[in-house]
Amino acid sequence: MMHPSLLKLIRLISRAKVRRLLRGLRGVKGIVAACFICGFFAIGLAPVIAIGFLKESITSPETIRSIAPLGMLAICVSNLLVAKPENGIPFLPAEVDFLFPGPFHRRELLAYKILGMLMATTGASILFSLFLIAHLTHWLAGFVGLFLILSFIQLVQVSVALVAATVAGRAFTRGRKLFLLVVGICLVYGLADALASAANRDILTVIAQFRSSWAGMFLLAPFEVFGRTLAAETYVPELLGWGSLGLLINAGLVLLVLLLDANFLETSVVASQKMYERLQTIRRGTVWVSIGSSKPGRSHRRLPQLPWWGGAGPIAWRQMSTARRGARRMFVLLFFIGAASAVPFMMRIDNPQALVGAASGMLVMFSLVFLPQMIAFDFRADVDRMETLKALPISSTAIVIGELLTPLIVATAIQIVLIAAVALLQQGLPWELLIAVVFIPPANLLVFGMENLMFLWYPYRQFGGFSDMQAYGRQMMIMLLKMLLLGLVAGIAIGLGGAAYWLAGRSTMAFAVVSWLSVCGLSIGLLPAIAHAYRQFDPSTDTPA
Amino acid sequence: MIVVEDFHKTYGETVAVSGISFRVGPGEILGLVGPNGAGKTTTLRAISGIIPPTHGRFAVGGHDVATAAIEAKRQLAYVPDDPKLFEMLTVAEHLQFVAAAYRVADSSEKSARLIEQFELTEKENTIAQELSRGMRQKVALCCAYLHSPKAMLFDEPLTGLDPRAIRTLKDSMMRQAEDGAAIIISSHLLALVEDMCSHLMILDHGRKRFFGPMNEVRTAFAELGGEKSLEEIFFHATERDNLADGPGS
Repeated sequence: MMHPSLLKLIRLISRAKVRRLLRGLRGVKGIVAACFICGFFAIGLAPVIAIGFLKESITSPETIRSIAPLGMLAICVSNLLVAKPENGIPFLPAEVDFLFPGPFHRRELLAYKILGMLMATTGASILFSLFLIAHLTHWLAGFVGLFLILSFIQLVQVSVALVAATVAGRAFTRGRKLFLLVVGICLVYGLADALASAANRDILTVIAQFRSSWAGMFLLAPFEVFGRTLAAETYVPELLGWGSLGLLINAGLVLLVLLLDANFLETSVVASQKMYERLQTIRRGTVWVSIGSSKPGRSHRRLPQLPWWGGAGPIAWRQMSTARRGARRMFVLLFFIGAASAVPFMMRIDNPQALVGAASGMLVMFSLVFLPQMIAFDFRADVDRMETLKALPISSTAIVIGELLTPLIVATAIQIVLIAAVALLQQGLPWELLIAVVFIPPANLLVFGMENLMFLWYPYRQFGGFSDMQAYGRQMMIMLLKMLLLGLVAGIAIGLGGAAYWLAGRSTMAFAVVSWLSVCGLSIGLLPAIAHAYRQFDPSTDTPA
Repeated sequence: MIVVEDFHKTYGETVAVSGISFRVGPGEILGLVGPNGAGKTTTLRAISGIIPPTHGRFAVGGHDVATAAIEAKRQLAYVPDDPKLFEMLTVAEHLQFVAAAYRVADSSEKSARLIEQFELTEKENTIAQELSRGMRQKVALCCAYLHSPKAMLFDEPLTGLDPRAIRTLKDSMMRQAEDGAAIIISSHLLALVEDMCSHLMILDHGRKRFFGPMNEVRTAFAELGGEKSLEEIFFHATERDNLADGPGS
């Protein structure tokens, strides 16, 4: 079924991944990264995993049996919603160049793709099952169940792509719409039935009712096996029985994929080219532009040109224009993150203090973890344009200011919108959050300044690949440094503010003003350091591969 | 031997290639020229079996690309424009894989010779991610030569190569042709095409404007008068006013 050289290729690539992992651990940077990762696992994850193995599951198997099939249904339906005949099966650009003109049958290429996919799924299943150990009755059942679930979802996706390549585009679109209509009707009917007959509106009760309705049984039938494997309480007969059945279903899908033998090469070439271009854009740092690129031929409204500002204006304008191009998708994602974060708040809406506390904590985490990665409209997005920047007749300080302005404005705007959303939920703005609004801009300058300083000292690409060990270590290190720096700045600001408070005769206003001025001063004080790091950056040696 | 018969390729309502036929015999080098979007890469990809034709037939080394794809592909090497390598594999590992795929006997000896020929000895154990554009092109060329193909397709093969590598590539192409390989070079470098190719095909908007031996191209465009350069002939053949099928088509 598979050409021996394709097996050899899989072996070579697996070996190369291990080699890359080990190479990433060489040198001072590598050792530091490894220490951070080991420290993170030892302190953060190891106890969770150990407790998970030792203690009983915190989630009942019945809950998992209820949720897993529904989750699978949601994923499969959303995959089908976005399925298009031209989507194809994405191969790596190198696979297109080496394997497509090579002496291989299409089925051999499919088998190669499926084997690679199953290997990646094995790794992901081990990792996820360890993360979820506290919710699982048996780790082995969790691993087998997740492996079967993830494989099933991907195999369905491949099957849909092959069916799309086999039948005419219009027939595929019609068939897909008809199928989705049937699913939609069953879903609405089943949910209406469940809501009407459920004793209470508790979500688990509604799901249980939905599963027992005929529409639910019909829709979830293909997925039940996987939920039962995941939540198996005994190795024999539950795990063995349900696991074998799941394996049979997946084997059937593999057989279907191989039997379809559609000519997927052409669509895959196009899909791979798109994927390659997108990856290149991500590697260059402009993630949101790659995701949110406009349709060709559509004209864009231009942002008005900013004043010169010693050269900072044009630099900031360029970054703002880039940010604007990807704004729509970025805000959609931010909306979903915000909506997901709002769920716990809604559940505790009757407890204002808890709400403010949770909101502040969430805002800090969001600002430190997500935003700096998402809004990289600064030096990090210019990793391949450093030569051009350095050739400009603009001072390094102006360039630094120009580069930092866009993320600063975008992050501040997003955080203020989030605070406004909390105020809406709270029906009023708590004074703690009002103060936060004032401190947000200088704090953002600190956070983004630190990100850029680290980038200029230790240049990296935002997406280095999944086996880029240094990337994980670097992220943890940056996170820790940001926390330390923020803590230090907060300490100094509170100290100076406290002194002003006493000197001004217990004046809260003096405390706030001096603290704010201290944070601003310290943030701005970071700029010369960034400008120095920028001047030291040598594009010929410092540009990462 | 490469045979293309009545090749059509359409994408929806867009016609990429419209009914071209030609053959490249053993020892012949065909230069495929045309403006951007003329259908050059589409033609090369279709011959190599990557994309199916809307209509038409291809044969490589006497094997039909549609019905005997594996046999045809075994005879063929395709070097795309900007070849993509497996980022994490080393130069030597690329050659190892290609040797296994095409079942090349005495592959290590051949690999060593090619690596030396293209001055990759120092980079043998370097991963592809760390190679420059020119080096990557050299690796792709080594991989193409490794299984001594009977038919070779090159899409802009000189991009990124240094002068010495260009000389090496040109010499190796000539040697392959002398050994009986049929070669197609798609390029915008008219000087290269004129220098190396025994035959020429001018494509424009998916249509064949000229096909024939290189020494007949000036005769075919005699209306231009005198000893016109290939560049002038190219411009004349691809001008908007001359969109009707040209001479030799």
